[in-house]
Amino acid sequence: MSKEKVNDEILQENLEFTAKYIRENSYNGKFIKYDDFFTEPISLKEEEKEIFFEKLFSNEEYSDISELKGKESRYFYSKKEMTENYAKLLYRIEEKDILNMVADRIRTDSKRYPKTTNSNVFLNEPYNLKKDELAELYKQLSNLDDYKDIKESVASNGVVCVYSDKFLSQTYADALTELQEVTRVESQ
Amino acid sequence: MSTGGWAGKIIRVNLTSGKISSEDTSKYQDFIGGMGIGYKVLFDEVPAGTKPYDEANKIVVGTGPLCGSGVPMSSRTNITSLYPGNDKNLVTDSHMGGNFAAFLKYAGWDAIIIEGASSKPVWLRIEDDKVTLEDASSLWGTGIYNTTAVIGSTMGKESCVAAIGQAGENLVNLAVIMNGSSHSAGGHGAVFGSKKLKAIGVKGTGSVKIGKDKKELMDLDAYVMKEIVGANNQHVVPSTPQPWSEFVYENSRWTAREGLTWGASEGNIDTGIAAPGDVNKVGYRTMKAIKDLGPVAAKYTVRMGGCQSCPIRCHAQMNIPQLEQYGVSPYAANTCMGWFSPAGVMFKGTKDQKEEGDGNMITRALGSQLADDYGVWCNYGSIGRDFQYAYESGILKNVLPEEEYNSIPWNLLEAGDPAFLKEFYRRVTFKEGEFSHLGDGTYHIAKRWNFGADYWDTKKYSMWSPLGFPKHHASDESYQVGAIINCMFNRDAQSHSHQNFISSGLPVDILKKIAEKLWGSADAIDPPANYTPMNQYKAKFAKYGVIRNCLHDSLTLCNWMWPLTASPLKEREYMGDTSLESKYFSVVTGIDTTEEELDLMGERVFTLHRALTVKEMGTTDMRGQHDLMVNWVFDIDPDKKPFTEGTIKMDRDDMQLALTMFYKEMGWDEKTGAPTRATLEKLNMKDVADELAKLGLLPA
Ligand code: SF4
Repeated sequence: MSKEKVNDEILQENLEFTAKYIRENSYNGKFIKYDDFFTEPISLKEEEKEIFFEKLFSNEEYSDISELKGKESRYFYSKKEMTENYAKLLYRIEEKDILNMVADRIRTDSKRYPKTTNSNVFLNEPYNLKKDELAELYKQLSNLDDYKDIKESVASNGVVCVYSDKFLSQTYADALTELQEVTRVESQ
Repeated sequence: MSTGGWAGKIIRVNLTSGKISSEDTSKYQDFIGGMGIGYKVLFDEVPAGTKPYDEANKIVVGTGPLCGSGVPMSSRTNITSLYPGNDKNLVTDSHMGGNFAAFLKYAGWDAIIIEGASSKPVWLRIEDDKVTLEDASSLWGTGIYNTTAVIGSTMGKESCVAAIGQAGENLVNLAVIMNGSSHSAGGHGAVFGSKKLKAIGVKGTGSVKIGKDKKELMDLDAYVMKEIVGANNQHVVPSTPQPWSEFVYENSRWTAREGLTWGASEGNIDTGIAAPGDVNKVGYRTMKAIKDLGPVAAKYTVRMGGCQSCPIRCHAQMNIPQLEQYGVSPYAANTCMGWFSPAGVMFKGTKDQKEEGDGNMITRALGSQLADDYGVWCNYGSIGRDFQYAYESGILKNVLPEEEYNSIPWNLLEAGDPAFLKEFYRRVTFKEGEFSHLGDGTYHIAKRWNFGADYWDTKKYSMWSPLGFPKHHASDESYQVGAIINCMFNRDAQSHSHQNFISSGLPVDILKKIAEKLWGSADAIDPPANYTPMNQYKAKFAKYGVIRNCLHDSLTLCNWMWPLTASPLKEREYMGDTSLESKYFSVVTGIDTTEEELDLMGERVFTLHRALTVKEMGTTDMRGQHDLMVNWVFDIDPDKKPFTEGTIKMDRDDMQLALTMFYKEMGWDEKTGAPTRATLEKLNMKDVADELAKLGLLPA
């Protein structure tokens, strides 16, 4: 077998392995970062990277593999195993763009469902903010012009929700909060 | 009779004479099973005017053709009898999950018709064809846990026991029948008690025959598991962001996520990413312990359990050592209202003991153990609200004799100490003093203690009907559709068909697209808290809700999951499969039946319910005397107008129009809401029409 053919086969194998690896990680909610390509288990060699990425993005078989460019890194994921919404969220987490991460969720809930967002959802996976971090963050949001639309709505049982007044009036938000935090919790 | 599905036989037990006989199920085939059989027996055999505890009342414990067959979520027992919780004593159903229904099928029986009344305590023993009445004297006076243990050890571990506790024996109106950790909400425990029937033990060595090729059944199961089924309540969106989902909805019961574990399990099992299509993870999706008992419950969760044939597992099985200080087992299992109701009784709140939220968890777990052992039901949470109203309004202080009032440890209630629950449930169960009338049910207690209009007319107390039953996924969640459904039954509506879809976790635009396909227009669905005037599509949606509910309780399937209206899959545009019941019915029974044909059978069952209600009430005026709503439904939010954004306030005229449109969909008389001869005959119930005509109860 010629050397090129052997190299082609190795490249093909590496591509297949890498795509599978990206997909598995995407299923588990993780990006593969650019640097990860050069460490175990992918172990891409510097000199192979050009042809490798070219093939990865031109081959129909890997059309699900997608890339997001961050400030300092590039993030790879499979669109088949990870939705774009989740990828966007993960991107915000990786880029430590916490204000937009929180605002995105609140605005999407207000616009699309429509619903208000329980203010504590950001304490859970995958946001994992600490209570004091979250309190600080809400303070920041209210002081910044870009996030002036984020407002609070309180249910009759004291549960606090947040919403965007670009999409919901205060009256409507309050009714949605009550529905979600009181009525639907009471009705089993 | 077909070759598959039905066992083909029904047990009839006359407790007065002790006679036990077998009947052919084929007589009831038009009514499918479970609920359908129950209504037919009551219509044909129980005279109008009979009271729930009369010897003439009958109680039908039924399953259906799909139960025990391997169809997912199919071990439901439907119990039909007269309801003691108000003065109308109309027909109602209570339902249990667990193993009982499937085991009854394995023993070769579709249902048990219980009539008469025994002079001494008995229990019914069913071992395949051998059915006997046994002496229950030594069990009488003991709780459900003991009764289950004693009968279980007598019959062996392959048996299942459905029993009543002391509440049923003592004719507490709000009493349940229970098997395993599944209780029959619905007040029929005392009907067992009035007949001195302590329990039914069942063991079967047979199986349910499949009418068609078994492979077709397995293929359907694989399809449902891979593409259609969601988490509990058929929620199809996760409660925290998950890589596989484009949506997130924090109220969803699809709680599985990395780091959320069954904390008291061996190996601390992680619920993990339980994505659609991963069939072996379906049982991890619903980590309901944290929904029912709060986040602290995760570490006390041994596992999620549930009913026979159910991949969803919505019953939290807990090990909470703190419970032992109250003299009960640390092992507790329950679901939904079983956990919620005791927290309603402790309306002053609960005090944490060692960590945040443990007071609430311990309260719920202790209360559920007490209520389940005594066999007390809560009227869908009303017992706590009734108690709260009576206490806070000062009524309780007035109606209780001073000595009795002072004997109640109010300090425990005020301090949020769960030990109060021991007093509460004991007094109710053993009918100790005036206080115990809380167990009579809202209608009776409100009359006896003269509750004010503020009780009925304030949403906080959740009443729906002047007949004393509370709202259950009513207008406050689904507007005219929920309101219609809540008016139709003779107790709180046990229908989740509409609400599961609305609360599936999908945004309103997707729900609307599905609604358009199913009911002809996106207008069948309203955005939350922003509803529009009544239209015919909503009437069709309401009809779907009611009819599927009746089908499920007849087939029998769990209506906490079925119908599978939505799917978690984007590639299906989140569309579930509403033809599944008919596909399963065809495969299991061997009788080819379309979705429309099966829906018509559901329509028959529900129209019979309506006919029975007309007969028992002695009037055709369902609109004026039955389909009633209390005032808060229309008077809430005094500053807002109906049909404006941000209110659930209903409009009186619009609701009457809604009823008219629904009656029309059902083919009932549009003026009165009573079934017409034409509709009854169309549904093959000429005998029912003749009987109503004889009684002068057919609409003009
Ligand atoms: S969803 Fe819950 S109640 Fe329904 S069958 Fe499953 S375990 Fe039983």
